[in-house]
Amino acid sequence: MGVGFGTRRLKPSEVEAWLGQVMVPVEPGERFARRLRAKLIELRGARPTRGWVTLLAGVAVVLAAAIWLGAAVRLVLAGVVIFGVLANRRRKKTLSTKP
Amino acid sequence: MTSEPRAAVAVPGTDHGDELDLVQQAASDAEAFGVLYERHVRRIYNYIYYRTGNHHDAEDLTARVFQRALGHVGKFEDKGVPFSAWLYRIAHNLVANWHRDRSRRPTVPLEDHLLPSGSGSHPEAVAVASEEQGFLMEAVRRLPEDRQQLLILKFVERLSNAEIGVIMGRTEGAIKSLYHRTLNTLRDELAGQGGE
Repeated sequence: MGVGFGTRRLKPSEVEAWLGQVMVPVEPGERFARRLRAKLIELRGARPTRGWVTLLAGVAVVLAAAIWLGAAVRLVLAGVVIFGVLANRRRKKTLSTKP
Repeated sequence: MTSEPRAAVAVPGTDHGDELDLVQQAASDAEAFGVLYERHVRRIYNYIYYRTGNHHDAEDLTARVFQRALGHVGKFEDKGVPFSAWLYRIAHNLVANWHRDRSRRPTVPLEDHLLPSGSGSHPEAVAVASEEQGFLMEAVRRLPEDRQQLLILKFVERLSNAEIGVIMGRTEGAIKSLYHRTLNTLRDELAGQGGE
């Protein structure tokens, strides 16, 4: 525009005109735009449908619950065993002290 | 930004009802998303280009905008604003993150200087015009983000105040007022920087 900025204060209309000269549409690179489109469509095509995602999520929850339940049962059993061992030792000690 | 849904105002090149159908299809149909992409990639690219100042970052961020849009298009709700407004919001957030990250790790980008229109072939004239345009764009990028968006939509996209208002969630009058304040701020900025 060559308005000699810094030598005088521009009018708003001059700023507007300058912006109109400088801020013009730019085109994205054709190769970039084409590749991005292909990549997006490929991503969308590879995306599993919601139904399958829901099914997989349900299976994962059931498996997690089963694993947790198995661990919980084992802990309970271990507790029972320990209790039984301790009770047995106490009984033997009691019997051995009797005259 | 108003919170109430407003009557849909079509942005040039789109029909609101038609676009809504396309958005709904795009949730599961790759080709439908491809159509949306073709409609909006240039305006999103332009917005990001003028916010970042170089093609490399503009391409990177544009790709991220559409990848994010692809992941969330199924959640798009019709609140009377065009789909482009939703895309601009995504772009706005990504550009804000980009600026924040850039401020933490300053880099010196290889700027793509705009070629001045009608500058002739004289190298000195080209260099001077390019420097002046760079100066103007740096001043624009120092403006608040909403004002930058306003200028981009007005000059690059050539939208009316009403159309800009729909995208930015403001009334036409508010946009007109903001525009005049922006020109005055820019004028002061240029005068202040040019005198240094």
